[in-house]
Amino acid sequence: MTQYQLHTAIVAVMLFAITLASWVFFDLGDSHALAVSTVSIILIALALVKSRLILIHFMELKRAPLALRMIFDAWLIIVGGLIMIIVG
Amino acid sequence: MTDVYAIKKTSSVPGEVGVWVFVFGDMLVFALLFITYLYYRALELSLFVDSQASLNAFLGLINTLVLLASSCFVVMSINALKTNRLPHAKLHLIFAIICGFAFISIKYFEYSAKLGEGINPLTNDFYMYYYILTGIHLLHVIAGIGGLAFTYIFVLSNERPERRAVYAECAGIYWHMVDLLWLFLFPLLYLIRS
Repeated sequence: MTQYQLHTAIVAVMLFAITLASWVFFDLGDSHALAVSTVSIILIALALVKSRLILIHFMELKRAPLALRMIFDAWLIIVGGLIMIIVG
Repeated sequence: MTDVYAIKKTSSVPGEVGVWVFVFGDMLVFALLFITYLYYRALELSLFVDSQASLNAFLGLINTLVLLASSCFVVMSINALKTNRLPHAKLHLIFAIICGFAFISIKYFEYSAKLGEGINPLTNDFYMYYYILTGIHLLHVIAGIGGLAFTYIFVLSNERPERRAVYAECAGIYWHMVDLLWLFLFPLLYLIRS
């Protein structure tokens, strides 16, 4: 396995693991072990983490000019932040 | 075999600048859709939460995993293309397209079940947003499959070798965006209760 393939595999495992963790948090909210607003914030935060992993490693913004990366980071921060304010 | 990842030392725009302009514009549109949905949801929270509970969240989870897998296959395909392993590039692209069709099938099953219960876009405001948001996303999935199929049919075999990676990356970047948008749609429509 090349370095690139190993790197891709690690990111893939993280994406799947975070998705399954989201399901666990959703379950905790449904069973009222956690407050629903707390769960909502966590779910959006995890979505932001996964989105950034995809942007940086799958869409390869990692090797792109900084300005391009910052534009999409700004989208994540602004949109993610707005969503969290509304559902939190 | 040369590891292409080690070669890239200077920054370069993946695909072409044009696809990023398109992707960003599309993401802005969806951002507006998300915020609009959440705003009107906040005005009728109990109606929305009750209706959301009727959705099959487990199918939504499966769809999330399916799209993530498809994105992984696209990454593997483009890496294979760049390291001159064309059969692998084609195979992984086929897998990605199959995942795309799996997503569509699951969505079709979901819509059929809901429509069978008499729940349509006019039933209430939540279902209107559910059908419209997932419907627009589904159109993007179909377009994305078209892009991947175009890459498979016309690009991988026929395009000049030095241009293949650019075309494939553009189709891949669009497909990853479709995946990214679902990563927000899934919690917003299926999971959040507040």
